[in-house]
Amino acid sequence: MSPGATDDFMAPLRAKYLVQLRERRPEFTGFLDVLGQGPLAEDTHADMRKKTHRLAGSAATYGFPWISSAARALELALDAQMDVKKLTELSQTLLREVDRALGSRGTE
Amino acid sequence: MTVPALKHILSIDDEEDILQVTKMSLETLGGFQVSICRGSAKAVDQAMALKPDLILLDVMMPGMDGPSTLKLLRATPEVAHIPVIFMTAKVQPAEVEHYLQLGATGVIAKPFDPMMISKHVDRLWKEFNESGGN
Repeated sequence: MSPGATDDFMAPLRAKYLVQLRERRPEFTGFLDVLGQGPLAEDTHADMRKKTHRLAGSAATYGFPWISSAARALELALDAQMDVKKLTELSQTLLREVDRALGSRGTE
Repeated sequence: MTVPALKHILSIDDEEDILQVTKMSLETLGGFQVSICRGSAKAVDQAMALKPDLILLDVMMPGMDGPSTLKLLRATPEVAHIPVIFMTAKVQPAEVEHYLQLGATGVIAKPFDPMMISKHVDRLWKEFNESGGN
């Protein structure tokens, strides 16, 4: 599922996905903002889990397995009720991987 | 045993990203006709209207989830016979076994490889028919 392995039909879908990912980037910086305020409220926890689950389930299909892996790690940490420090680390990793994908766009 | 050709697939998912790539992959690489249904609310109505050969069903959806949707499909005589493949990230052996016990024909792991999904679906379709449609 590496970007180079996808066939021509995936190229426009992948480009569209990257546009949407850029639009969604504030969601992921928002994770760090709320985590900076301390333990998560129940609805915030549920919202973060929903967003990470969605990302984990789609990114690798579009050629970004490292985003799926980072999102899955955060999703599992949320399920395990891990502490704010760990969730912050995993959110930072996820944001780095999102930025890596967005940064790669110009080289395609 | 002659396996009937798989022609028409209904894909049910609440995520547009997944619906689009599923449709494109299955149509382009598999040559199937793919209809899409956004979310579970109209899933049974769409299945009844379209009468697809096979249904791809997301497990985790807001409102009615995949297993509940499958239960409703199975309780609806007009579509109860249609094989359903779950699509989910939860693919530990015990989880897959649970889905099969619920009546799913098979399970495809998310995230999936768009280059391989048509082969995976075709294989599950053949297995379903070779086992007598159970």
